[in-house]
Amino acid sequence: MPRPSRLHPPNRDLVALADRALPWPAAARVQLHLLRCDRCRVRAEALAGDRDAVRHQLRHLEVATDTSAAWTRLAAPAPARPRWARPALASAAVAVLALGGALWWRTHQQPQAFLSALETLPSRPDLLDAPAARGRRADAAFITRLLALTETGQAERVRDTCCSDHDGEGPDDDGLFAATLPAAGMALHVMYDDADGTRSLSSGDLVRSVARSPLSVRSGDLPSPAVPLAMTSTR
Amino acid sequence: MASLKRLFDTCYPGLVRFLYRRLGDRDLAEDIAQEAFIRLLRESPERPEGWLFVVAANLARDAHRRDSRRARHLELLKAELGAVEVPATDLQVVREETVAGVRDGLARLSERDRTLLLLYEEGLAYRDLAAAVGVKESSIAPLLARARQRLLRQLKEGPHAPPIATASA
Ligand SMILES: [Zn+2]
Repeated sequence: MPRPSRLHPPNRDLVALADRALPWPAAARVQLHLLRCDRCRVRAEALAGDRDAVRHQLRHLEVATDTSAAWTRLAAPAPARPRWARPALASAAVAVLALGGALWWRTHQQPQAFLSALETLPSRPDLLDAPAARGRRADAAFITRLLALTETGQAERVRDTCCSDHDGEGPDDDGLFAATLPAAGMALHVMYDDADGTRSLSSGDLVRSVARSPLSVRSGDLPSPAVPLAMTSTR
Repeated sequence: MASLKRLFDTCYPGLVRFLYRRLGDRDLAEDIAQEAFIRLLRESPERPEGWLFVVAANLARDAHRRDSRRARHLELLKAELGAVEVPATDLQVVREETVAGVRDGLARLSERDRTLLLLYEEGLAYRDLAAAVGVKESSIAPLLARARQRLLRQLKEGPHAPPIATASA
């Protein structure tokens, strides 16, 4: 049987060694071999050289990212449009918020995703005023996320009423979506423009405003929470 | 709660860079990166970093197949390079040619080679690379080595070199 140093390691091991992807015993064996074998050392250096050359070339394709703006975009809906800033509508919003007290809910085990998901939802207890227009794409992302929560049982859809002319500007294209997030002890209320005409909240719609309110439970309506709300209140 | 934010801060720039290199369209790259995070919320994978990149790679492949934005990519690329508000210098011209050359070289690779090279640069482990391209982990080292050699050969030979493999994109 030949001595280990005479066994030239295969290329795949030399590549993996250069990429630091070779597990320990094999890596030590190959490194030991390279100390003694010029031929393999030359091969290993060439393979590492290819990797470095590719890295160098790809660095020509750089792109600047604004991570904090992207986070905001993921986490917040589009701003309320000016016409929704009217006092009458603000009153309507308050009325909607009051409905939160009547929302039924059921308790859930907290899947790990829930806490993560919660973090991406609007945090302000009042109507959100985003500082800058975020546009249709952000709306779609927000709606998709919210609907996904309802699909996975992390949120309970309480109502999705569409459509009325809430803003008085006709036609009847304004909807109201309400959901509870039981484990967080809160309710979300989304006023939206049924832009894609599906007559329910869907990813093609425009988010007018989002409100978040604590879940207040009328005794008798709902079961007692298994998870104390204070424990899951995250903000 | 902070974990998602931390993951976002850690992974988002690399995710966008990977997608931008892959697709040549920054807006699309950012959209897909966001979509990958939205899916992450639904799935709760065990190893989220690798999972995000694998999902992003799949979304990028679908996006690339779905639309033929090549012309638009070139426009964006021109706009991006032209955004510098100084007259074109020799250095700039060289840079433009270099960027175009690397893009062209990547475009001529197979989907698998391209994905492997770009994901490797974002620090993915071999096992995540294997998941991304659907091969055994033990195949990654030779595949990576060959992909590197192919790209370097493309770059050396320039745009007139014959495609090495049938690019699916
Ligand atoms: Zn040897």
